[in-house]
Amino acid sequence: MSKQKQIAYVIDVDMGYGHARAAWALKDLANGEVISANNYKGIPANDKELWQTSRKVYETISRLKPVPIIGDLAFAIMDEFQEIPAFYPRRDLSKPSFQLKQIYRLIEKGQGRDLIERLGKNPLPIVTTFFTVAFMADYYGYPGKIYLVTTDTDIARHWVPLEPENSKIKYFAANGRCKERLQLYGVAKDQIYLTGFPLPKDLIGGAKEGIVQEDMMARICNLDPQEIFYSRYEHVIVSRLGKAKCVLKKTHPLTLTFSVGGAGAQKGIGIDIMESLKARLKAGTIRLALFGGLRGQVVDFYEEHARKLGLGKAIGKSLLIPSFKTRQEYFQGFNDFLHETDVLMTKPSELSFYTALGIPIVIAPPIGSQEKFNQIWLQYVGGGVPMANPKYIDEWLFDWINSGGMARMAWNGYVEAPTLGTYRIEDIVAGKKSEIHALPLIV
Amino acid sequence: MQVHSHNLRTARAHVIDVDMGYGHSRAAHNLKDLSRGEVVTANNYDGMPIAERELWRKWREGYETLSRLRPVPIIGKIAFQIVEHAQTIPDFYPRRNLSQPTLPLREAMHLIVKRGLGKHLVEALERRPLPAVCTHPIPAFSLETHGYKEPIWCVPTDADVARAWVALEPKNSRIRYLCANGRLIERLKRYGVSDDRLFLTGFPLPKELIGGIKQAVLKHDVSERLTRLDPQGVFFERYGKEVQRVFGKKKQLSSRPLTITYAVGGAGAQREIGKQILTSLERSLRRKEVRLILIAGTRRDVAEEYQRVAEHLGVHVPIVFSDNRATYFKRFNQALRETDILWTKPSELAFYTALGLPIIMAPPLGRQEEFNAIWLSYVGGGVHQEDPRYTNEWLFDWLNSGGLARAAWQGYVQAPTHGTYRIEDLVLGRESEWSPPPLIV
Repeated sequence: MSKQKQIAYVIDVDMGYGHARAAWALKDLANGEVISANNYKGIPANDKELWQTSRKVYETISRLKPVPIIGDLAFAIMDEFQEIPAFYPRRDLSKPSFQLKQIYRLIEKGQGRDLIERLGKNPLPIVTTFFTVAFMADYYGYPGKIYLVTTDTDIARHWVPLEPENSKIKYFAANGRCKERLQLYGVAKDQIYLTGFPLPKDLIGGAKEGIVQEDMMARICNLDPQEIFYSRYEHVIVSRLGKAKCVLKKTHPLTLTFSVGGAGAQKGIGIDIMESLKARLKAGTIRLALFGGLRGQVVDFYEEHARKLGLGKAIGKSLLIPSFKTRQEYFQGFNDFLHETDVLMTKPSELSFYTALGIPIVIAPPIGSQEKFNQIWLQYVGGGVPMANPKYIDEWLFDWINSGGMARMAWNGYVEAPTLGTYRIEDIVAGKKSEIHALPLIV
Repeated sequence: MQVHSHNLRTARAHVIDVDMGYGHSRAAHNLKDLSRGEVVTANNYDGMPIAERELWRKWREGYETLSRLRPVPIIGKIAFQIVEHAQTIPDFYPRRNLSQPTLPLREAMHLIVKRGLGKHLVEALERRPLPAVCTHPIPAFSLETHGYKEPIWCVPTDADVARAWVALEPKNSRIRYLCANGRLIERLKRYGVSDDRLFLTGFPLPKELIGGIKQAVLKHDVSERLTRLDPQGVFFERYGKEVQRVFGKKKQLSSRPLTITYAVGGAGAQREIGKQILTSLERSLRRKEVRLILIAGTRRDVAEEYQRVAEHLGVHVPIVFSDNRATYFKRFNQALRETDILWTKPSELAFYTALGLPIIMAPPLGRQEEFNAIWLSYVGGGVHQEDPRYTNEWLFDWLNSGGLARAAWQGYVQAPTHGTYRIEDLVLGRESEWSPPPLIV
């Protein structure tokens, strides 16, 4: 897809990273420009205030999570509102939830009208990764098409409008379960496209997946030192990638990337990892990258602890604690680093889908019910494993690597999870017949 | 590679189990060729003195009663915590010295040393001095304590075990361990067992389901199973070429429908799940879209209960039951040849994924089963059950996704299949045709 021509508006919200990361991967649709519905140039003060209120509640509660009793209680209440009901037995789940009604109450007060009216002057298709934006467009009668991208493996009722049968929102479902779930919420089958989660194109390399395959083979080289995995899967790998690509060549040091999620709630895990890997970091036998997003405090926090642990000299060499000024810089920096990431450690957020890039995921504890589903999905496709005690990562991670298990997860993720979501979405938005194979419905 | 017969014509070892749950007995029965079909049950053999029998009986009853109480609110939880405490397996990481004996071990050793538990058995076995292969630690400790001269082998029956599997003073013990997986090797080292007494073999699986070095039976069964488990071709689209390379061309399927086997444990806990599956699959069973085999084991009460429910629903369901353990195991193994999906708590049956069986895990009972579940998930051969009341929905979703075929494949590829053959070779002191599996911790 050409980067020059804008064929859609890509809209996220500046709130957590899940919605924004998906939007960033789709930015080519909008000539690189992603609009943040709660933070765009010229947003009316009233609009901004409404958005800020909901964001503050989410972030404060997430940050409270590690606080004993109070944190858990606050989070449980928030989670209750966002709860995803059990999937089985399949039944009508179209009754609107409390949270959905609250969202509509704000829209009725005018939230988002300004943005939708502005965009309506040139009504390109809207591709949004946040449900409220799609509802706003639908509610205010946006004349163009409205697409909503789901950003978890299972979703709550508030992803679907009050009256789904009267809505023109079309969905890009990240996986089969999402597609089925949307139907239980009342969305018509023909309004749902099973595309896979949008992953960064610069990590894929087109429909032939050249970059993914190259990165993955380098990763398997680091992750299977005893060649246990390779000896068992060599024929499968050769048959899928071709003999020429099937080369185990070391291109970078063994690299673990920890993405600090939950508004920084899990930053303590990063300290445990640093401490446990101290000797290896000093010796330079592993590279550790701690990504705290845009939170400068997290960077300071890690740097301070690294120095306390005597790892000052490792910073910038085997210990990387990158800082970023903008979200764009962060997403790009994070994506760039994934080329050389061998193991991604993260809570099962939207990053769970990144296993499709041939990246094994060590799963930090989930925060929120949708992340519990993400974890189940990740384990079901075989691309991730829950972390053991991070204080002893120096032992268990290497046990897993030496047994070939991490390499197997890299492979499973690549083979089982959908890699080409971004391309499928681009083709549908552009109205092109896609050359990419349809995904099987994996529920 | 040295090829030799595994059809053993004479007894070359004593195979000893205990009558307590199925785990120890199942492993022993799979090794029975070593003893020409005879398994000595240490707590229930002919000529056993009444006093000793009584001691074992009380011990066993305590365990089973507590396990059976599990579904009872409050009391069940407390009862189970007691069982669990006795079987506690400490966290594996950080690796550290865990050789300090635990209370259950001291109690067992007190019975052996002070009260002579197992002494009579040793005297009986000494009449025919052969290596002893024990699938429970107490007979192994008894043999050692009471001066049995021949080699003593011990087969742990879970993917991780408690300290009670290792002698009080491991350094002075000569018991050798035949381990199902890498974690066991590492764990037993922490308990103080020296490297030279640890052998990574894989769990002993029934030879009749493997078919020797060429795996004739196993390859036939797995090949057919994979086809049946992938009705939409999702798995074959990804792994078809490799499946053909390993198993040959796609087989013509026999006429039987997709078959699910649900196995209840020795204590009869989780029998409710079987009833829920039966009820949920009623319509599919009636239409013969699916077949359900219910394994009641040696539990007549469970078999009768299942029979009643099946009759009430008006469906025919094969129920595998026998009063006799050996017969039960034989029938169970026969049923596995026609099984596509094995549903069980993650007991020793977790290792059966190596036979290319996808395992749906009922909730684990006890710490060792929790680890079996982790091991099974890690090798990719098993997945936790969804709500059994809605089996008729999720099971077919999984099936249509190709996920169960993938689990069957991963179990076959990742988990060790030839444990029985390796164990036979080690006990007989001959070089094995099979190299040891990699140490997967």
